Amino acid sequence: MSMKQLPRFAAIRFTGWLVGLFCPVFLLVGCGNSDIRVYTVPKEKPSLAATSSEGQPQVHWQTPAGWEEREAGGMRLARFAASGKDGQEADIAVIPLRGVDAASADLVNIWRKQIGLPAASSEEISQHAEKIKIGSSEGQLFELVSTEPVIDGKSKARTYVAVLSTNESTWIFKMSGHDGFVAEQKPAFTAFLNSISIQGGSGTGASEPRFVSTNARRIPTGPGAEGSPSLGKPAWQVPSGWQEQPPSQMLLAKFLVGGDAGGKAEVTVSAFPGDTGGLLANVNRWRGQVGLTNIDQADLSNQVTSVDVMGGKAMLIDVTGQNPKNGQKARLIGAIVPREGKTWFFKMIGDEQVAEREKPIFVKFIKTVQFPDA
Amino acid sequence: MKRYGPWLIAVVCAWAVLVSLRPAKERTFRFSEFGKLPVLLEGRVQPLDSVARNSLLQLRSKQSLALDKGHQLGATEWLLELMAKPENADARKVFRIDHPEVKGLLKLAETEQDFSFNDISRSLDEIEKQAKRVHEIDEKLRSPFEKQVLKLYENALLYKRLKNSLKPETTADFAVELKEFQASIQPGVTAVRSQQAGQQFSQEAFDKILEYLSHYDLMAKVAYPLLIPPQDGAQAPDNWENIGTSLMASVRSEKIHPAVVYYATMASAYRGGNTGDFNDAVTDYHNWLSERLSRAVNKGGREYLFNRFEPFYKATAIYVFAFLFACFSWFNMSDWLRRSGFYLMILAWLVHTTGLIFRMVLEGRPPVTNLYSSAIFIGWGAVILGMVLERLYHDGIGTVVGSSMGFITQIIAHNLALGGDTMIMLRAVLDTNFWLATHVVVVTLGYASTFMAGFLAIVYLVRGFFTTTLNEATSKALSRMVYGIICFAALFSFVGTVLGGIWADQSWGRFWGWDPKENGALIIVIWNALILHARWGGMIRERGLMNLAIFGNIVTSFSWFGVNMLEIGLHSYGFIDSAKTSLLLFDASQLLLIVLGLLPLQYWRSFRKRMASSAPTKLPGSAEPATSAG
Amino acid sequence: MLDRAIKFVTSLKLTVVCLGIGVVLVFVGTLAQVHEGLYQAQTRYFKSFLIYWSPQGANWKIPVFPGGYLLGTVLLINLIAAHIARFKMTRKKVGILMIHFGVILLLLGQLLTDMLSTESAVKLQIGETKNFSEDFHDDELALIDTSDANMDRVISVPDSRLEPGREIALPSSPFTVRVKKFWVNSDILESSAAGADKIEATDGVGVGRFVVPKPSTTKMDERNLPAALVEVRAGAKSLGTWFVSSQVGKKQSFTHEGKSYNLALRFRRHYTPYSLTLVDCAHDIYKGTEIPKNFSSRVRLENPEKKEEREVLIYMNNPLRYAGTTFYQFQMSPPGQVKASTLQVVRNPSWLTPYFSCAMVGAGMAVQFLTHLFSFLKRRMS
Repeated sequence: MSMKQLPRFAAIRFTGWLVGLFCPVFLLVGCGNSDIRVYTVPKEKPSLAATSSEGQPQVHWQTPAGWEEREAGGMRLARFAASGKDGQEADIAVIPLRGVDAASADLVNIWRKQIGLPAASSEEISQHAEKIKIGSSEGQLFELVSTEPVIDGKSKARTYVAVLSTNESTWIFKMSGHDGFVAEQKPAFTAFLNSISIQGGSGTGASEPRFVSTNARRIPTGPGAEGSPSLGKPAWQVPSGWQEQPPSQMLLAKFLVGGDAGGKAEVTVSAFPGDTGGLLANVNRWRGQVGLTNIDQADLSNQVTSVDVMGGKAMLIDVTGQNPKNGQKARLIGAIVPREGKTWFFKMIGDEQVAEREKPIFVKFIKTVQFPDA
Repeated sequence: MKRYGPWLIAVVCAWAVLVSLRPAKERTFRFSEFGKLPVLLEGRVQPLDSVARNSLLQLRSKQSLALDKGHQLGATEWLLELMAKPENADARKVFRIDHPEVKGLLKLAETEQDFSFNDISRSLDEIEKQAKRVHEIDEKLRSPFEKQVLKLYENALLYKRLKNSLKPETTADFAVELKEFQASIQPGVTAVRSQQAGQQFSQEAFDKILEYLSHYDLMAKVAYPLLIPPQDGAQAPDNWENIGTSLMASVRSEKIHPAVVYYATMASAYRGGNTGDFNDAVTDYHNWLSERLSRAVNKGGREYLFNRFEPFYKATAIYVFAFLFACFSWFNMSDWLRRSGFYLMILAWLVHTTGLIFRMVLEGRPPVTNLYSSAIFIGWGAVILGMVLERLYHDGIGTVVGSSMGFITQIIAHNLALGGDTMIMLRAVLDTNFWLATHVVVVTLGYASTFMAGFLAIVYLVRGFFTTTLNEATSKALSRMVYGIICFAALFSFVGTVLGGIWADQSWGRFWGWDPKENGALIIVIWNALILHARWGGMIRERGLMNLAIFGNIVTSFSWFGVNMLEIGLHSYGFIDSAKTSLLLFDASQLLLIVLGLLPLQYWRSFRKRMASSAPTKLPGSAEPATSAG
Repeated sequence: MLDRAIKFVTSLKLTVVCLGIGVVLVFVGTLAQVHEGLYQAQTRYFKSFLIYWSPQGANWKIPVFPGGYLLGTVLLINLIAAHIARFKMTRKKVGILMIHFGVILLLLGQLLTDMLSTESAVKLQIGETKNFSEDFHDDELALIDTSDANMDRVISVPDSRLEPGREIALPSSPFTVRVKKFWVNSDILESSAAGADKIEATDGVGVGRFVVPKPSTTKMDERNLPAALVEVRAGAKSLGTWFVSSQVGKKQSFTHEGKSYNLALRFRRHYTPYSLTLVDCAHDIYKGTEIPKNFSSRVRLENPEKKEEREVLIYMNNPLRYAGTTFYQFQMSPPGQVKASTLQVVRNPSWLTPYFSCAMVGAGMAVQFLTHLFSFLKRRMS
């Protein structure tokens, strides 16, 4: 088929038509987008994520040593259990109450009832409320101790509840269980609360930064991904007068401190995965190293003091005994720092007077330690 | 001589290539066998030799280590030493540091470039501190010093990880330790269980097991290649573990994986200088593994062979020779020089092709999967075009352009390989052999041909401007070559680009997203189309064609590399650092050539000669002798 | 005069000049993406008729360069006119005719895509069901009549209409909305901070909170989170001044004459008569690396009108095509977080045009160049 050359006039007309056709098409289609629309849709069904298109806020925390995560269930977002000696237990739960702006007093009275306490007025409750840091916000901490032995008729119950109110929901963090054990766990609970971070919430939409694009080159494999294993030891400031020694197989670092009268003390740093048996076991291990007998869980709180260090709390013990090798008096000052996945041990052992002199320096040293993230 | 000379030269070169394939005689430790052992790293099964070579490349930009008295320490031997006898390895100068401020920070000698781990170990904390700081800064805003210090940190981390991959760093005799560990598992586990139940337990057993575990836990976290093959090779071929993880698991199963024992034997034998035990352990492990995971063993062997063959380096060398031969042939017009160049280029291309096919077999993928392989493929395609041109025109131009593109792309590829393993697994969105084979190959050929046209134009310009060898026949030939290749380039770049759009449509529903890489490819298509239309419209003639073709080089280099450097969009899958300067220099050089090309013809030596030689013959009234000036 | 005009419109010179401008346009538009972000650069350079420039802080702007639409139009006219005026349909020109026709098809197809296609996303957690997707860029102010037991009536106002000071009468309702303030991008804070303004709302979530105005985002995977302060009036009666934003989770509702209403500023929704439920999603990584190996989602498609219910597997390079819409695997939650998957939803009636166009142009080029090549080789060999 061959097309004859159209006369020029016809060509212009044709082209003119083409051009003329474009503009209205453009305008018609292009402008339709900014109309107000009215339509009906079926009601949104309540779905698992309590609000529909709004995403569930993501909560992160650092699980304290000794707390085991349990299945959440019910209204809880997360649940932990910790156990101590003689079957003492603590149960920790994270409960988000979405869309609820409940007055804290009402909630507290529910929990008071749970451990057999009578209801209290809101003034009373707010008077005894403690301010506590939950992540980067401030919440309220309530301490409830039962007057009667309500657990198996033998022990009293203690409950700590921390309440955080955000712009869309109320977060409850509750630890309850046997009185003594729960009291002991309070520092861990506080640390847990400090480490809470609640991100997002509703409607950050399709481009939530947390999501990984399927076009991505790399997927971060978890919160520890960026923290690569440290090249050397954790950073710290070595006090003057402490001589660094080559560490042995088990140790990360070793220092020697000399005294004027020839006495010496040795400072060692080590870390082990997991909780290595718990605080009591390690304290007794150290007691054994200076020839002392084991103590009970009950005595533990007398023997141990807690010191704030970078990234957590250190449990400090200070005992004097006998060096089993030469029978001389030996003093052991040790600090145990539980951190995520690992337990760090700092021990100073040696001549009593040297240890006495170095004790504040030792504590200061521990405070300068920057723990690697791994 | 003149007839058989070129053949002889080609045969000699071929023989040299084949001879290099012969395995070296190893009188003491059989490092080659050790190097063939397969491990899992970066998601793929590879021989320890590849791990060693890529690590050394990353640390010091070379695949081997020069020792005193002109000896070379092979990559595998170095890796074995690092893993089994780190005290010795720490003294080897493997870290390459160029930046003077970094050297100053670490208090290292200004005049040297290679340093050992011992040299830098004093300043590890400082390096880490700096690196953490640099990490917070946005990538685009980092200064060269900051980039270098971060690179050093990453290298030091790699070094440390390799050190702890076979045995814990501080262990002396791993084989002996393993036996003790095995003996301590049972009592240790009992002790831990008793302790947790609150009963009496053996403190010694408890301490001992914890001591071992603390080391192995570190190894589990830090070790780099996964040395231990999966228990069930058929069901889960990817389930390799590193030695640390395996030993930690051993506590539960109370059995140590046989592969760990083999590796421990190798480590201790090497450490003790015990050749016989080492070689036996390697052979035994090899046999043990062949029964269970023959695929992995074969892959290890094949990749080892590929590494040793080093086809691309050999091809580069031969390309250089081919180039020189062909260039010289222009000056004395000797045909045998030209033919030697041609045959050498063919030989180099055969080696190049072998390497390319070998890579395809090892990866199980079409030839182009990342920036590195695109460079290799562009060279390969360009050489084919060069061979065709040479066969048609017999004037050495095809050889010159083909071989020069051959070795230039190889050099680019080598620089891209410095980032590490070039055969890493492809990420999910690229995991489709169909589109890799169609879109990527076609578009890369489009790049190759546009470059070819540009290089031919450079030949035209250089010969025309600086020499008197651009006679009429040659310039006409070059003109036809450039035109023909641009037609080819237009076709391939258009089809390749649209195929890319169709892939995008299948993948994420958008045919065209104005992504930088897409835009780059589009610019090449438009540019090629522009040249052709300008030619057809009589707007440009020979000189214009050449100048526009040279500009095509700038356009293509922008599309190939420049867009990656912008680091935005979906296509940013190749990050190169120092290439920015090289790219800018290249573009500047091309612009310079274009400027020369625009100068009036009397400045061109060849045209002056032509005008001078044709002028006296002009008779009044007769037509001007046709010149092919634009 | 007419002759010259025709000659100009059909000339090859115009083609070459347009192609040259095209190269510059694409290049500049690519570089601009570094600073302006992909979406803005795209709209400014490629999806416009003219590119404007205005000096810092000035209100006026002058056109300095043709934009993508203008260039495309001129090229199209040039191509068609040249063919009509000059080209003879002969066997020799078949190749070129095919090429040019294919190019025309491609350009027109892309134009239609620009105008007619919508891209949105549906984000699902495991077990969640949705019958709508959310637009990537547009937002809407939605007034929802929730008084009916089964259905909601939605009045949706596109965010482009939300300019401060504007009064918008909502059709099919007694309400008008007065826009008091509008923030293109914002953040909401519980307590005052530097740069934060108190929200002057009388009802709802905004009371007692603070808003931080933010500049429009240019990053590719971020979107603007706008907010607005609106007053709802029914005739003369004010039903409160409300702060609305896509970051607000709690429902903000009021009643009027016995009916209950919700008010929200949210991502623009595209509702469909069918729904998707996420049954499971998985992504694999190559062992020991962070390189993703595969992403896949298993969804259940339910269409009550057609009584259709089936499970589909969507994974990389393998979308679900249903009812003129295509669902692609777009994003997934990283490991360690609540499992969720985002699907990209694309409606593009003109999706086949590039396929045809590619085939035509490819074939045309092959025909054209091969004929030339053969004749060249024949001459060469003889």
